[in-house]
Amino acid sequence: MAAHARRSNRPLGWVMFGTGGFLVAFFFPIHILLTGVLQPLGWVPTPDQHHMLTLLENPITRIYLAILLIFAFWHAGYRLRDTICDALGVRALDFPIMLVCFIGAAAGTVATLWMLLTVP
Amino acid sequence: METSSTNAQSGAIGILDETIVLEIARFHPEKDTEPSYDSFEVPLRSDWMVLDALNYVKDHLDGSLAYRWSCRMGICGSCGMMVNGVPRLTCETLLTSVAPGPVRIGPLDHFTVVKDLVIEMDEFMGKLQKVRPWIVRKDNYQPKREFIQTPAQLEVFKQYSLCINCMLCYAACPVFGLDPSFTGPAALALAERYNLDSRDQGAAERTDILSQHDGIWDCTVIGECSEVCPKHVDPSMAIQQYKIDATKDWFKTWLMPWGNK
Repeated sequence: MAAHARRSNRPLGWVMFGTGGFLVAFFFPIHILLTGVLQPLGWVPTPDQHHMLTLLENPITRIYLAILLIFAFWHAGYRLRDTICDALGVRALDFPIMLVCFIGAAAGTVATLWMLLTVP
Repeated sequence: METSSTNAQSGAIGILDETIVLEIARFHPEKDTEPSYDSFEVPLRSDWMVLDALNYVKDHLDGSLAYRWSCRMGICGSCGMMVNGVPRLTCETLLTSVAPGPVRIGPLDHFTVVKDLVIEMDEFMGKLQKVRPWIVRKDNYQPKREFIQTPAQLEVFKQYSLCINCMLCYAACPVFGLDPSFTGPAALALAERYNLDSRDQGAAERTDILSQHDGIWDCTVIGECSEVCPKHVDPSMAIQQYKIDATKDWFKTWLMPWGNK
């Protein structure tokens, strides 16, 4: 169907964007509050590196971090693409801008997975 | 230029002993290359809307002023204009709410101006038509009586059926401003209105049209359309709902191509 063929492929990116947006809005404030405010103020104990690595030994922690960070990268890539296109008025350059943004998100994904898989 | 006098009627209901200055955009397509602004001093009455002040200008100060209006009660959607840079229905904007002035009144942003405050609507009407805003039946069913619809089924789409086509959402939408090919908030909300209607079977046809690049996916969820909508239609929400359905449809198409159509 011709009309079918012209359908945008945006749904794939949008799912990553929407999921990432939800996760970032829901979980990032908790992390920022804990590690950026409460721990520096001494209101909650600050774990040392040994404790953090022990926490990372649990596969659930790694899966949680992988999901949170990877979707956050794709959320950022999708939003950055629209922001650059509209703020600079360069929608005609959407494709190369999309490529740069999504390659950045893919690089973030690879880096996240590499770190989570290689940390002892 | 005349200066109106309200003192003579001072004491009557709605009369304030004040005036307010309107700066109204003027553009004559056969004479002007750029719009300019003319100032008019009109009575500031507590019971006047901005539209009443424009009518005063038309009746008493400058009969050549061109603008659209009809019902004066927020139903016809004709009198949408930029009031101090914000898209508003002038028949629902109290003059005192923009006092002390001066009040800058211009044609709706993002549209071609025909004359003064009158904008070209053909493109918008084309977008409305494009989304097939009517009940589509695949079965060519010719009902001998009304379709039965429960109050709950009506409630699902009722909000999106309240649009009066005033085009304020288009004037507020930065995406439409940057890319006029964007189908836009009102047309997409109208499409969702029919998609959600229990009597309609045209969702797939509309998705073929609206899931293209200039359809729902151009929307970047800025939400200004919903902010300015005088009928609280919330087109932004309609578009996001539509995105969810289009996404499900897209995944179904790619993951289960045999199940499509």
